[in-house]
Amino acid sequence: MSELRRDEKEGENGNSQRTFPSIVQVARPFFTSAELKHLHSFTIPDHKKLSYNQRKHQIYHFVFNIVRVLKFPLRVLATTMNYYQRYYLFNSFEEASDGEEPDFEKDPYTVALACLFLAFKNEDCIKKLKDIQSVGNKMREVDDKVKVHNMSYADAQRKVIMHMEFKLLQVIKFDFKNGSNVQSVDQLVVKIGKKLGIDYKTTMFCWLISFDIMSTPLCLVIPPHCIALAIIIVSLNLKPKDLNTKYNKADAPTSPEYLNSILEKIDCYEDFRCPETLVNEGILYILDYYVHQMSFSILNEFMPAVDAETGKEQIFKFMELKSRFNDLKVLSQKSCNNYSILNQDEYLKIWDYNIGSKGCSRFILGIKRRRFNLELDAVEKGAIEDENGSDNAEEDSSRVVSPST
Amino acid sequence: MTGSASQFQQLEKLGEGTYATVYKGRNRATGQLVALKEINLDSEEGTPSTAIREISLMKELEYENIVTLYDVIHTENKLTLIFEYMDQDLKRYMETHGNQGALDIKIVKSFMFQLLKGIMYCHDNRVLHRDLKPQNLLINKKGELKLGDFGLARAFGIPFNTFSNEVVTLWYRAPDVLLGSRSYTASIDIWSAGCIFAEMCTGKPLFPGTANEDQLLKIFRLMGTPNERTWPGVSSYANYKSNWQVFVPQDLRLLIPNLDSLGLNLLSSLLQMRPDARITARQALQHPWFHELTNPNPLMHHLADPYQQQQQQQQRPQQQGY
Repeated sequence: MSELRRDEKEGENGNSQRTFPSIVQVARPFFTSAELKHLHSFTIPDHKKLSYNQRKHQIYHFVFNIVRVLKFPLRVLATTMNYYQRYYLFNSFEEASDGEEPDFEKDPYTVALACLFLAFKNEDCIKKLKDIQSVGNKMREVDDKVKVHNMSYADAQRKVIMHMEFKLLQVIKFDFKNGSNVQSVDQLVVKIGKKLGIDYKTTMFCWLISFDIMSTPLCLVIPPHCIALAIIIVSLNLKPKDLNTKYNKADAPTSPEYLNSILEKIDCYEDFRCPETLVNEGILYILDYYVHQMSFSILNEFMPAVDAETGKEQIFKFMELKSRFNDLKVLSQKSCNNYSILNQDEYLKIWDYNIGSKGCSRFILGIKRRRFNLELDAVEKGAIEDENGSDNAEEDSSRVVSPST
Repeated sequence: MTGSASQFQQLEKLGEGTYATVYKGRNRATGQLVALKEINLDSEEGTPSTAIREISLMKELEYENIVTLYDVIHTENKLTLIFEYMDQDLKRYMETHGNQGALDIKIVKSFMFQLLKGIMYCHDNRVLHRDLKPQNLLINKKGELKLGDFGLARAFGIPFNTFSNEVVTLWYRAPDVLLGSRSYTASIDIWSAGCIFAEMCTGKPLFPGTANEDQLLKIFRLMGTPNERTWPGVSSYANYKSNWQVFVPQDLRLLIPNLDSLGLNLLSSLLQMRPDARITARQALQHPWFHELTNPNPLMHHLADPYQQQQQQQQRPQQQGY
């Protein structure tokens, strides 16, 4: 999808032609891994990668606890995690120093609260910002009555959260659904599981994977329904037998042949409208995740250390499956695999928040592009007329130029 | 001022809502008229959640009987939503075109058909409007009616039970909601459609209640006081009272003498007290009262299953995106 940057002139008929910076954007909710790497190269320097990841896990734990205390559904957590990761695609990751006065602008916890605040609104789970702050600050044992910057901690924090919410709206380009209008992954795996007739234990296994994967950047790469289907396919291949769950629903153990027959029948696109390469992308990501992070995963806590059938540690099942899936066709990154191409992409530049405050940022909502094309034609026509009629096409965007004839 | 820096020139003020001011506007490039909805940012709560819900839901809704949201513009710490321009709302239309508010039955039929189509499209896309009233139905010069103002709408199909029961303007609020139901569904929009139907025929609001209890009594006076026999389970609603005055159902014909019996039949199917007895928007559109609109030309094709059609349309560009 494209976006253009151009300067616009104030006034009609060539009167008072003061020009303003202006930008038009269409949300691009998904990125290839090369694009993510490119964006992170601006916002998270190499030496901060580790602390970014560590901090992210602390933050997610923090957010999870707030969502739990406020008794909100898991999809709020998923949306918050999504927004948080999106924020750091276009904003530098910095750590607040331990100085006397807290620097909220740099504080990832404040970013997390802003993400949560917006996620609450978007998911229709309305909560006053004050309440969210008070739960969060209490959890971190922060006294929010203490005075900072000549006001209470809570007030200073709130000011920054509001500012960040505005930034966040621009980062997500007002595409609140992040490119899809389907439910969250944790709801989808259960739904798809039911539809396919998958037993309770395998579905539970899927759900645990969805919980792990929720915190990864996979949600920035492929849409939720493709993630959900990838999880289902991985689980059907692994055929989990021993899962330590609190509620062991006593349904008859499903035979491996039965699960295989379900797997055989899945048609990614026909049944679930999931393009196959995207699902494959998801499958490989999930397997990679467990091969590298098994010991930190939530799923790991629910499985016996050693697989009863093979007598090996669980991780080997994932490695074995990954080797079988080695030749899956995934996304081609040809169009975005080198720096010079990526660098030409305006969308991947650090977002200039000043455009909105000095000039105008216009976010067009994707599906109405036909109308936009008409407008573009009109603008181009106008530009040609302008060029013929006046000489200020090259003028600096902030200068005031005299009217021309 | 939104106008100066942006693509859109701001013209006269059209109205003021709780969280926004609406202006008429013009696209400088194409000359097309638009409605500019300028959002008031709250100093305590930032961007109103109603604005967020509206953008979020309307982005997915593209249909001839739903007002189109084109863009979101951000200037000088202000948000403006750019909507398709419509000439007036149904309330004003009735005031200016009606005979003391009452519209010609032919127009009522056309508007009802379009209203129900808009509702069906929302419900097919798992969206409840929750605030249907004449002020939120917009009319243009071509006689098209479109649903607007989705600030109170929400996606349904998600089992989450803390619906606030403070939605839907009182006059158009369904009895189950008034009784304290918090698990309401698509049927609440259907009740509102019924109220609007009657209002278009008579020029007067059907149930102009002043408070929750008064609203219920106004409904009972016409529809009859519900009891366990007419509405099993009614006594378990939070706001149920056993000492309500007992009214017997009245004949709608006396209230709306100018409506034919097919029309009255449709009206009473929309205005069922029990939410599960109300017909769906899809069923209502197939009601014989609309046959003169649907039969001469194969309009019914549009009603086949727009949801599926729309999904297919959405899927294609999505694929190309990669």
